[in-house]
Amino acid sequence: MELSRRHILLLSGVGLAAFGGGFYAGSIQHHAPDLRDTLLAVLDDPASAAAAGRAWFQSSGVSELDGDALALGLARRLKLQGWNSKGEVTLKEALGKSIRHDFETDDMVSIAGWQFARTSAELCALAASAPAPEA
Amino acid sequence: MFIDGRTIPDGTVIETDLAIIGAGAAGITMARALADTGIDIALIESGGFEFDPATQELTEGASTGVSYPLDTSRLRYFGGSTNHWGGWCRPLNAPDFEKRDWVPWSGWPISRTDLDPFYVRAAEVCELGASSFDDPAPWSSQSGNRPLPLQGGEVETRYFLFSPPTRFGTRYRKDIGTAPRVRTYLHSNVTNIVTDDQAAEVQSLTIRTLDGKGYEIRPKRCVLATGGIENARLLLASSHAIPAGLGNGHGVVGRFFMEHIHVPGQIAFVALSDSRMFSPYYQDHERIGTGWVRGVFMMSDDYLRHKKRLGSNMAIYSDHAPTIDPVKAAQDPGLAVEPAVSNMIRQTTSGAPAGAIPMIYGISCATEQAPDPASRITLSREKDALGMPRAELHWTLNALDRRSLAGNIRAIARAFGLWGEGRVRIVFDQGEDWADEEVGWGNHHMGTTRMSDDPRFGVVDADCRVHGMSNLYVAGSSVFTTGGAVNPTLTLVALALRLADHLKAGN
Ligand SMILES: Cc1cc2nc3c(=O)[nH]c(=O)nc-3n(C[C@H](O)[C@H](O)[C@H](O)COP(=O)(O)OP(=O)(O)OC[C@H]3O[C@@H](n4cnc5c(N)ncnc54)[C@H](O)[C@@H]3O)c2cc1C
Repeated sequence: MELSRRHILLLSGVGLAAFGGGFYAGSIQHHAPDLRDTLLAVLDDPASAAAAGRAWFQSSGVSELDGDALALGLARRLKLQGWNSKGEVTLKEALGKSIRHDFETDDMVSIAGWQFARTSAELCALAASAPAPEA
Repeated sequence: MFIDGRTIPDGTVIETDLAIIGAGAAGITMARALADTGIDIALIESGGFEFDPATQELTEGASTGVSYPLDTSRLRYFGGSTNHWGGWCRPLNAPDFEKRDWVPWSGWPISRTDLDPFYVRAAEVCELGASSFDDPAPWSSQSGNRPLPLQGGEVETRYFLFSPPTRFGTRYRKDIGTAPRVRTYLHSNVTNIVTDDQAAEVQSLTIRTLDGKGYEIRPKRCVLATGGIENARLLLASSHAIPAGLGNGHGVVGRFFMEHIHVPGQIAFVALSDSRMFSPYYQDHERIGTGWVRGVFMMSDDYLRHKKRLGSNMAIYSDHAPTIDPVKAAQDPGLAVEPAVSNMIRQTTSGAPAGAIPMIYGISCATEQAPDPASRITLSREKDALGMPRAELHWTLNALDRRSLAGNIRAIARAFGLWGEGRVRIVFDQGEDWADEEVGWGNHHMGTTRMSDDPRFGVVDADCRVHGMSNLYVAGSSVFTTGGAVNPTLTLVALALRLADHLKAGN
């Protein structure tokens, strides 16, 4: 299989879960645009997050982002921290736990030198991805 | 009594019990400590009471490897380099004295416990006014300052205390001048330590003045206290009995030169959710009770052991609020990202109250350097105005030094991230490949006459006596076996007091 730059990016970490299935892979895969909105709703300033997301991807030489894959990958991370459809762990709590886990495991992403937890960086990347076209 | 060496007739011979060469932090401390013990002391100082360019010129020398200024990193007149020191004081940590299996050549023959009583006295000499270097309680109880609850166990708050700074030459001039048994010879340069043929015993010191005169001092015992570069230079240059120089039977003199590695400017920034979280004592030294104190971040002992790294100390200062200036942001992508960082902290991991004002702080850093025999002082072919070979420094950093600094910066990023109220921007991003041109220093000259029980690996023994010599001792940071991550003067003053006690006891 010939890998596009986008695939390489995905395989190198961001949105890995899109290939691995998981909590959302079966149930929400077809509603990824909703998932994207749900995740981004946590940000009260998505524009600044998007700027960081763009800076990350531009520095990696990538211009096109697959928002659906990013959303699914992030959701899988958050599911590992207990986020589920029952709402027992809120999105903010799950984000906090996932970020903490990233720092614990030294899983940091440099965006112009700022050490983002990978979870935060993916959220920024999601904000930078183009919204899904209206169905 | 102060005597201008230029007034002493050529060829004069002076006898004394103890000669101390060099009136800086170490020499003045020893002379004061021994002043009323019945020992006749000759304190011999190259300069006078004021800076003099011709005397200072004697410190010039060549540098290879990482470029280093031999002249501006020290001062050559009464009081020595304390005439321009910054006063940052902190003892070495207990593990700094231990043999660390990941640090080649580490392990002092003495422990922190051996030095503890002398650190208490050294704190008085340096006029620190207090002595709590690790326990935050005294500082918190007397002020609103609190250590940050960083998490992960890798980074801790520790404390520096500040000397006023004590200018040893001014502050202790009267003590030295009025001590009946201390004669201080100014404008007097020791150019040669003359020994017996076996280079086992000091017999006399050759002294030269810049106006061309010369005289001799014959001491029963002698302490070399001319600073971390000059101590090695004088031993190497005193080569009439043995060509390699004094105490140099195993070629160790001058080797193992260490500094505290600095990265010029800041190595990192930290964004904090609430500017009130950094207590004032992190941002500058604060007067609390009887002491001036500053909190810094240092690596925990467990972290250093587990990761096999050398330590760092990192100080914070307030820099700017995270606002976007489009012109500046266009030049520095890190500035453009700051609002995102602040928002991300607030919206994901922070418990900061509403209305908190985020702030960006700079972090500066000093890191321990591993002892390395290739990093060394040798003698140049060029001679100074007194005919002495100049010092030449070849300063090198090795892989462990570079790996430690790069790793420690990441550790501080993890610690702030785990706590949740901060994020770190690493501006020094060269990792382990940073270029020599980017390396800075702290004006700390250590290791060139290092302490070891084994003469193959050290120049002085645990009593600071030169191996193989009966009556020659060394004082100063040149005896440090390893340098830790903190400024050296408090430790070298403690060691000087310990050596004074040793000599007082008649050893
Ligand atoms: C800008 C600067 C800032 C510093 N800030 C700090 C700090 O904040 N904290 C800290 O711990 N340390 C600091 N230091 C380092 C500190 O100054 C030294 O560690 C300390 O002064 C060393 O003491 P010493 O007695 O070994 O040497 P020195 O103080 O250098 O004294 C050596 C003396 O020997 C004399 N001498 C040299 N050669 C001869 C000779 N051949 N014959 C006779 N006399 C001779 C010199 O003239 C001098 O007076 C700083 C240094 C500099 C340059």
